[in-house]
Amino acid sequence: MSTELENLRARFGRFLVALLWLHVPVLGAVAWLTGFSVAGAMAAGAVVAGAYHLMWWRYGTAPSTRYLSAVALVGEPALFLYLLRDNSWQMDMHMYFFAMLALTIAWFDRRTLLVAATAIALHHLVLLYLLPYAVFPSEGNLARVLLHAAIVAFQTAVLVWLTNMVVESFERISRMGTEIVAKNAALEERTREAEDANRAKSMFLANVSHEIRTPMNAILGFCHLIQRTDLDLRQKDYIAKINGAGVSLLRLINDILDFSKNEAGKLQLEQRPFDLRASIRSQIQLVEADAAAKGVAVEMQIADTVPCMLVGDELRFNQVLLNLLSNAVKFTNAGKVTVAARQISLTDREATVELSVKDSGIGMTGKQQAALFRSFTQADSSTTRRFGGTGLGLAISKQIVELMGGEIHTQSEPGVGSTFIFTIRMPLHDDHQDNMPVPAPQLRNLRILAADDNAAARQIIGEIFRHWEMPVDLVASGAEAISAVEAAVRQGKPYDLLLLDWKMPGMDGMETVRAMRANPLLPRLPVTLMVTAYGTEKFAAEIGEVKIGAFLNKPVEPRALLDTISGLFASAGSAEPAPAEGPAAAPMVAPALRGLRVLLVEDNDINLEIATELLSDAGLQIDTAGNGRIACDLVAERGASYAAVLMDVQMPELDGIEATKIIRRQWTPEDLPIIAMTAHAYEEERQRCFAAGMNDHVAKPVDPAALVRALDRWLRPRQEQTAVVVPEPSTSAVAPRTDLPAELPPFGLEAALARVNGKTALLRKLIVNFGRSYADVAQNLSRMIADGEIAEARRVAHTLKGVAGSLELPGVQRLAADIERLIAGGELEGISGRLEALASEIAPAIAAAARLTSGTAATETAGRVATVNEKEVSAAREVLREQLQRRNLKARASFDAYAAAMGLAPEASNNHPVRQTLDRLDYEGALALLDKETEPSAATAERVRAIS
Amino acid sequence: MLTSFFEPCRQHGELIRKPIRDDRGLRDLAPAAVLLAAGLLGLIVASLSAGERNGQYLVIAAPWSGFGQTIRLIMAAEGSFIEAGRFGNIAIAASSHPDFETHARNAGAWLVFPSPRLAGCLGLSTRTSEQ
Repeated sequence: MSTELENLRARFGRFLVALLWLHVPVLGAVAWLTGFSVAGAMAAGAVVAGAYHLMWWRYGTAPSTRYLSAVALVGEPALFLYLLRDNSWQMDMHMYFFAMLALTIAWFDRRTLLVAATAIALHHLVLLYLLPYAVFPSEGNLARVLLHAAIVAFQTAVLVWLTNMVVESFERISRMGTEIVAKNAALEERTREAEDANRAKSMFLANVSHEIRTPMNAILGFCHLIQRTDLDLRQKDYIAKINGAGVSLLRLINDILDFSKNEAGKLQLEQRPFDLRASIRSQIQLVEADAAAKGVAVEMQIADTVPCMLVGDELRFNQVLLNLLSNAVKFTNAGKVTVAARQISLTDREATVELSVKDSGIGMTGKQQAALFRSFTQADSSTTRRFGGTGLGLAISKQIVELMGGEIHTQSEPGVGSTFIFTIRMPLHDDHQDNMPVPAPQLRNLRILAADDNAAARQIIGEIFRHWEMPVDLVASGAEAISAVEAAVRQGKPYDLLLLDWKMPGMDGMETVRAMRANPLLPRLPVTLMVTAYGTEKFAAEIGEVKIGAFLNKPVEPRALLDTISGLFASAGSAEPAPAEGPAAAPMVAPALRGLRVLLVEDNDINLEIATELLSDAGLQIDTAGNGRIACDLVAERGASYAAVLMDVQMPELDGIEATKIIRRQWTPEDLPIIAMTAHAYEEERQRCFAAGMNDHVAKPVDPAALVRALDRWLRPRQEQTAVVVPEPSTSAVAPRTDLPAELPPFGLEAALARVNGKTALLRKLIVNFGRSYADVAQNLSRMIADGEIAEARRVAHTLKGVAGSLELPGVQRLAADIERLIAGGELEGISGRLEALASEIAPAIAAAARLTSGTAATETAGRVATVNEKEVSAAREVLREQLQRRNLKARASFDAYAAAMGLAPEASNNHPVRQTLDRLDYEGALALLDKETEPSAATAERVRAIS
Repeated sequence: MLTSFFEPCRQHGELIRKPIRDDRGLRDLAPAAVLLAAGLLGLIVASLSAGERNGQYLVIAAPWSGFGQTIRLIMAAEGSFIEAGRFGNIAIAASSHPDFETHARNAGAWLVFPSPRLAGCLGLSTRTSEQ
């Protein structure tokens, strides 16, 4: 039975209770009017209503209740008829029978209708015909009774027909409802399955893309390195092509990673303040070279009302804009691309900005536009052939824009051009003024000339200086620049600073400088700042004897430009060109910030030493604290003297998070910035740092440039600062010492040196310390876990991870990270395998570190060094033997450890018969060779001892 | 409280999902039939017993009585026969005797009522007194 029908019956059943009880007083009133017994009439009405009420209460809408209700309903007019029997209204009261009969249709039950009709018929027959006929034979009008019966029968037939139709309709609707519900459930199930499958696919893509990126980075890295070696022209061409293909592939993989990450819901946007104008400028600069090559002019139109600083993910915003700009340039020949930004709405907290990229390119048809934002789709398949690209760029852009709370659409006309319009909704940055670089007052009066052949580049530079309220003159070529400089000298108002684009048609930047130097009319030249989009290496190779003040890479960052200008004019009034900042120089904080004191909180000696050197090189004074507790005490004692705190996160006694919370009770993030330094690269860890009140996060192993950028961002010059001691950066970077071998596998010396600003002595010390501190780390970790010192074990693993990263031991770093994760997750069952792997992975590093202390660095000879540790060799050999017996692929890594313990140089190790046999995956052969080698090892050891 | 007055004893939701009792055929008709029978009987009794006391009576004898027996019965109760009913055991009698009803019952009448005024569908019945 349909639920709807049951609902209707229930409502009607309830209504009848009220209706029948309402008849009781009416019956009383009629009895009173007609002279009958009021009590008797009301009692009769109460019996009828009570009988129904009892059935309703007991059986609800059951058939018995319905049938009884039919009799009760007919009973009411019968009672009225009796009360009005001497009254002229008696005949009219007959209509009430029909009303009551009609009312029973609301049960939607034909049997109830038939019961009601039967009751009416019986009533009439017995009381209105048989009884009078029995008593007064002349009475009892059968014809009338029959007429009434016929009408009742007709009405009943109509009502039954109607009831049947309604019931059938309800049943049909009910069946449809059930089917819809069932189909919906099936549909939901299918949708869920499809979503799961899609998510799984995206996760798979994301994982695979991520895994592919690692070897791709290696391919590109080695391409880069091999390009720096002596190659003939053909080899150079091949390598360049490999590199180009690799870059394309990496770009595609990055696109797929982004796309699938977003599909899987894993793409998270950062929330950091950024300068919208600077972002737009930098993206324009990135496409400028390509645009110029195609004769495309790029223009920027940013409305004044657009807020300067927004909070959002600058990188992702740039990705969207760059994608649109690249497309615009790609599809335009000798035309114009305009980037415009305008504010759509602004509240106290957030702004909605609309950005558009308009080109005068080939345009698109409506059909092409419709397919644009779908993944792996371009305007049409011929587009891919003509212009390349994956078709993922716009799909990713759409995802990112939607994540930013906006939308993207396009307007286009074939042959006229296209306009891509997107909106972003981002919170406003509260104290944006603090983050805008502001030039020092003495710089405001500089007279500046900028020369660039590209109109957009000129516009950008002009806007930057205008923003700083510094006057700037703009010219479009080297020749114009020379004329302008000459004219200024003639007027007695020479330029102080000249910004020159390196590559210009006609006379390029270098030629312009040479021409000015050779010009007798120019006794004194302005400080020259060369701007290049072609990379520092190429530039450095060409710079030769031409003396320039400094150079800047495009895109020109306002902060970098200001830092450079501040550096060039550091000594007030001096217009002498400052020496060019060499690429190998240690990165330093902005001049105004040098000499500030920072508190470095770090529990690990090696990390502490690295960070101290980096900060000292950056021009800062450093206090150190070994854990969070000491840091809190120091801040409480002399917090005002610190410009910032650099805080490790995992430390004994009191960790960085807790220490930050304590410090934040007294110090706001503006008064004392705290920058996290942690080996955790996870977003949630970063968020934990921010939630605790830290201002920023620098990942370990620390990249000196990233550290300095973070410091520049957060440090504030002190007003009261007068005669601060500025630590001189060490010059060891340019004069590397020789007490570290050129190679010390498995340490990645080159990268590790970069981390310590090229300080070989420091790195040597760090490696020696590492060897001493971590020789038995695997055993120690094992013991700690066995003794239940879980927290300590985790801390040790965490620290090892950071240190190994700093010293470029990726294998050890990875294993330490694994172990830390396992400990953190309480998965201690499988940890012994990892610890064993760590022991074999770290052994070569420990051995290499030990060689440094013994003063015999690895040599390039194929023989063994004199200081072989027999115990170590024996242990490494046993590990190797075991893995060879188990035919384990890790045997090769174990051989490396064994070779390192034996003191073999990389070349000797690679040429070793055991290694070569292993490379063929011939485990039995390798084992036989190893066993053969074991026999004479005793004699060798004796020889070694004799030598020593 | 008022709401529960209108509700069945079972939960409303249960009621909606399923009728409280399944269709049991004729047994479901029993309460309705009882009410109908009781109602009709009550109305018949009420109709017959609502006559005015004007010296005329409806006399109902045993169903097997013929007109002669019914008339003799009336005569024995010191009444006079006025009109015969459709059946031999029904007749209208007149008597000025106040104990006519008792006498008639003693003489064998099953039921004796003051003469009723029975209405048909049309309305008022013919008054016996007017005949």
